[in-house]
Amino acid sequence: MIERQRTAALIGIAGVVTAAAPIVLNFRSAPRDSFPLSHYPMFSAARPNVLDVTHLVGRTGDGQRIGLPCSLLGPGGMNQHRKQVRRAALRRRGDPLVRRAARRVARRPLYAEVVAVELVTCGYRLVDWFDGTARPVSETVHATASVDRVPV
Amino acid sequence: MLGFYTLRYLAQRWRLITKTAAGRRRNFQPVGVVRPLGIPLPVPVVKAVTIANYASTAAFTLGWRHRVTGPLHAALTWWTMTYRNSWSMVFHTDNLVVLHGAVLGVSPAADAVSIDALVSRAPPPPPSWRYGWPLQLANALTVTTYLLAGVAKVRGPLGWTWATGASLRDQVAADGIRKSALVCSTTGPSAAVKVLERRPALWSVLAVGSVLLELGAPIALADRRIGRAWSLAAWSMHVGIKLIMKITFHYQLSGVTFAPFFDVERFVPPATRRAPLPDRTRTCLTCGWASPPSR
Repeated sequence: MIERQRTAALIGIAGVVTAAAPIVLNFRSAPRDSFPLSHYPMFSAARPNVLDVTHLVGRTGDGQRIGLPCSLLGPGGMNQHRKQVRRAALRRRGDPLVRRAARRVARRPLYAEVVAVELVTCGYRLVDWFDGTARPVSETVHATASVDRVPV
Repeated sequence: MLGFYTLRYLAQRWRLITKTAAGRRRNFQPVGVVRPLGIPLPVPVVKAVTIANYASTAAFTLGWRHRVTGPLHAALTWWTMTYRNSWSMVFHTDNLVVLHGAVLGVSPAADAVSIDALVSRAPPPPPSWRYGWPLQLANALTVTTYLLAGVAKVRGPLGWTWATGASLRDQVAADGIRKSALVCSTTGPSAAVKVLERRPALWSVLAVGSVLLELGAPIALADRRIGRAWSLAAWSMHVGIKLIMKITFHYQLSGVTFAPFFDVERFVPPATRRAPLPDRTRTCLTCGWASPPSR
C-alpha cells in the first residue's frame, strides 16, 4: 500500500495523465480505440442521411422478407455481430455466415416459413425511423443459403 | 460499493464472457493489456481466470487480506474486462469500473469496514490523507473520461456543430435502425424520443448540455458542492441516454461512479466501522500531497 504522500502524489498525477493520454488519438487520421484507456469516440461520428446496415434477412417461399436476429450467428452482442457481418460482407466471406445461420433457422419453429437466409446491406433513411417507417431504400445481397430441414 | 457492484456485474456476465471467449479466432482483436496475445486463450483458461476474478473480487469486497486481494482484484478485473472487449468491439461502459478498481485496489480501502479491520489487533489508525486521496483520484479519473468524450465530439468530423443537436438526433436514429435490423427490435422510437420530436429545439438543448457537461467536467474537482452538482447532472445525462437510446451505462446509473463525490462513508454506522472517516480536508485534487495539514 502507498504510505508516503509524495508517492501518492506521483501515482495520482501519473494515473490522471495516463487516463488522459488517449486524447492524442483525436488528432490521428485512423485512431485505434483501446480499453480501458480510451478516447471515447462514441456518438461522435457523422451519420449519413441514408445509413447502410449489413444484417441477415429470411425469405419465405412466397418471396416475403422476414427480419432475422444476428444472434443466429452465435455468441456475442449486437455490436460485435454488426462488425462481424460488415467485415464478412466487405471481404466477401458471407457464405459461411449464412450457412451457419440457415442451420439454426432450420431448428427453430419460429422461422418455419423461412426457406433461405441472406446476408444483405440495406440503406435506411434516418428520418424514416422517427415515424416508424424505416424500410430499406436500397439493398445489396452478399450471400444466400437455403434452409434445409430434415423431415420429421 | 465498488466491490459489490463489480462482483454482481461480472457474475451476471459469466455466460457472455465465456461464450464470447469461444468465438471465432478471426473476430479476436486484442486491445490494451491483452494486445500481446496473438491468438485467443483456450476457453478453460478464460473460465479459470474469470473464476479467480470472482474470488478476488469477493475477497476485495469483504476486505479480506486486502493487501493481496486488492491489487489482485484490480489486475484480474482489468484483464477480464479487457479480454471481453477484445472481440471486435470496444465498449465504453466499463472503463471506469476498471480504473476505479485499480485505485481502490492499491489504496487502504479495507481499514474501516472489513474483515481485516475486524480481526486486527492494532489500534484504529487516525484520520489521514491516505483515506482521502484515493477518492479524489477516482473523481479525477471520472472527470477525465467525460472530458475525453467531450473532446472526441468537438474534434470529430462534425466539430462544434455537434452541439446543434442534429447530430445527436442522427445518432439516436442510427442506433434505433441498427437495433431494428440486427436484433429485430420492433419497439421503435421510445416515448422520450417522441417527446423530443414534438419539440425539436430540445435536441439542441440536450446536445449543448452534453458538451458543456463533458468539457466542463474538470470544474467538478474545484469545489465539493460543484462536484456533487456535476455528478447529479452527469447521472441525469445517463438516465436520459437510457430513456432516449435504451443504452444502459450500468456503472454510472448505479451511482457508484459518483459516490466518491459524496460523503457516503457517513452512512456507515459508527459501531460497524473501526477506523475514522477519510480526511478529505487534507486532500488536494488528485493526491493529497500539496494541501496543508489541518491542525
